[in-house]
Amino acid sequence: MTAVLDVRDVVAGYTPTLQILRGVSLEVRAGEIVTVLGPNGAGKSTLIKAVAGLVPISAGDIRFLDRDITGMRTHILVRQGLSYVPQTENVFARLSVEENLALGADFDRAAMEERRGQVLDLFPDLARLGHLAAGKLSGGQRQMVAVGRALMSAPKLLMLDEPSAGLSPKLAQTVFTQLRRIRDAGVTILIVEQNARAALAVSDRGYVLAEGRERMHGSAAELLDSPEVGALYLGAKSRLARK
Amino acid sequence: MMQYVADGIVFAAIISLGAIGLSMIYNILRFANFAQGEIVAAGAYFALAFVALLGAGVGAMGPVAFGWPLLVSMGFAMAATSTMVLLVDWLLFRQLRDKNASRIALIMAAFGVSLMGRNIVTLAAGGDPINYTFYIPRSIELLPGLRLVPDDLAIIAIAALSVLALHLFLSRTTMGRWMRATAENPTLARINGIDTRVVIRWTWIIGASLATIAGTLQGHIVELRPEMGFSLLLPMFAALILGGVGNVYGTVLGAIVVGVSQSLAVAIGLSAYREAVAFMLMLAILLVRPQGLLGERE
Ligand SMILES: Nc1ncnc2c1ncn2[C@@H]1O[C@H](COP(=O)(O)OP(=O)(O)OP(=O)(O)O)[C@@H](O)[C@H]1O
Ligand SMILES: [Mg+2]
Repeated sequence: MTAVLDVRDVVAGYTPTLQILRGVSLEVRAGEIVTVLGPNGAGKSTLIKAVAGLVPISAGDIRFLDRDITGMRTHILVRQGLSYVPQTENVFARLSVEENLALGADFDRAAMEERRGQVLDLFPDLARLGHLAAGKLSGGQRQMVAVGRALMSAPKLLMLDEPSAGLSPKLAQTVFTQLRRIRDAGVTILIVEQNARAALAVSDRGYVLAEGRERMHGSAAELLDSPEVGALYLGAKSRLARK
Repeated sequence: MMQYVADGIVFAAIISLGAIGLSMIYNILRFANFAQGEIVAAGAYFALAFVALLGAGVGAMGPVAFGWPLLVSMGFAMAATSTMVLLVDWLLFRQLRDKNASRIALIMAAFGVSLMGRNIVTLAAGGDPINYTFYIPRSIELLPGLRLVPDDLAIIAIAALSVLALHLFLSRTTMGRWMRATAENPTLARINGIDTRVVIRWTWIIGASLATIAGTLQGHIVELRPEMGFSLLLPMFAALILGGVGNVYGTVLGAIVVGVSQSLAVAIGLSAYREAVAFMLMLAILLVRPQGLLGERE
């Protein structure tokens, strides 16, 4: 299977003197959902930001759809099919829902209507919120706008940074279910999550990151079964459950 | 009394056109551009150069003591000022941005540009006041008891049309949406495929164009001096802060408050203190609404 995203030995950080990623490799193949797990401060967000061209990369390389994209400017990457939903501040609070969605496809106006239809299909609630300022929405609605906006550019790869953070378990579940639908529609997905169990449940494979290095990787089932992952990210309950 | 209010609104029209550039640069580039006054002055002097080049005077439109020659010159001056400002950005501010310079470094750089700008204008055009034409304001009676100067009305109309055009640009065009998006969150803008460098260029062009209109109109009703823009800087900042940083329309409202309160101060015989009166009012409003008239609370 071809790799949509191929990250090789990437070293990156916000300042030249302090590297946050200290040689991270990761692969996301076409049609997969891949989850990156790790404790707070592990560098998960930094990894996604480095792929999106928002953090300077000092070594290693990143390939997207078989093209070297290391150090490429963010807006160009987005126009080539890479979409990213940040962990926080992922909607324009002062702009309406409608405008937030439109922004996602502004560089490709021809497809705007069709994609708006697809996004509203996925998140029907957004239709009646169209004219509200995104800042007035609840956390769950905002997350829908953020994901919807990211899909407006018809991405080949969708990267989401903690899409379920701050949502009720029920809403979080809805988000993951929708991610599956998005994947089934042909979008490859890379997720960073704290909510390991729910994320792995919809994922094909996963990576565990700690202190800027990859700790382990494997299929979602392997990670769910692994005692180390269980202890660190799934809580003690999972161990008891296995016993 | 009417005349004082009219004077105030004319002044407001001019400072709001200048202050919009200040506001847009502040919101998109995140620094207070202390060289905005010099952009206003440069616009006025460029218009003077084009008036001289065209050699057709300033024209007239009925009772209004300026016409197409001044307006055409102003159009050319908008292009010239924009080019100049883009050049300064490319040579200076862009470099500072690329090096992640602090806000204070950008402000100091703007101070430097401001000083240099005034010196260059003085070198090029001399330090003495100049006029586009010999202009004596003549009021006409519009209604019984209501006398207004036609040029004042023309200036208010030009400013209102400019603000309307800006509003349509910001609310209806893709670039306008990109500007609002970049003002709110530049990183998220890039994630939406927006080339923020292009947005920055448009910000300078719009700010410089409106400043050129302000400078030309100010030059017409008062005079051209190298310090003409610098002396508008304080009222422009007052308008910006009063209206609420982050809201272009607030800037216009702030300008009206500053302009009218200054000329009412003159009306009640406090002409020597007119700026102080305007600032007292600004402080009083800010004590009640720290975020400005139309600003949102952070
Ligand atoms: N903008 C920034 N500038 C400098 N350092 C940063 C910046 N953002 C994050 N860091 C540092 O980089 C390290 C990794 O942060 P990162 O956000 O990638 O972690 P994370 O794995 O996403 O954590 P979390 O689960 O809390 O979101 C942390 O030590 C953090 O302090
Ligand atoms: Mg994070």
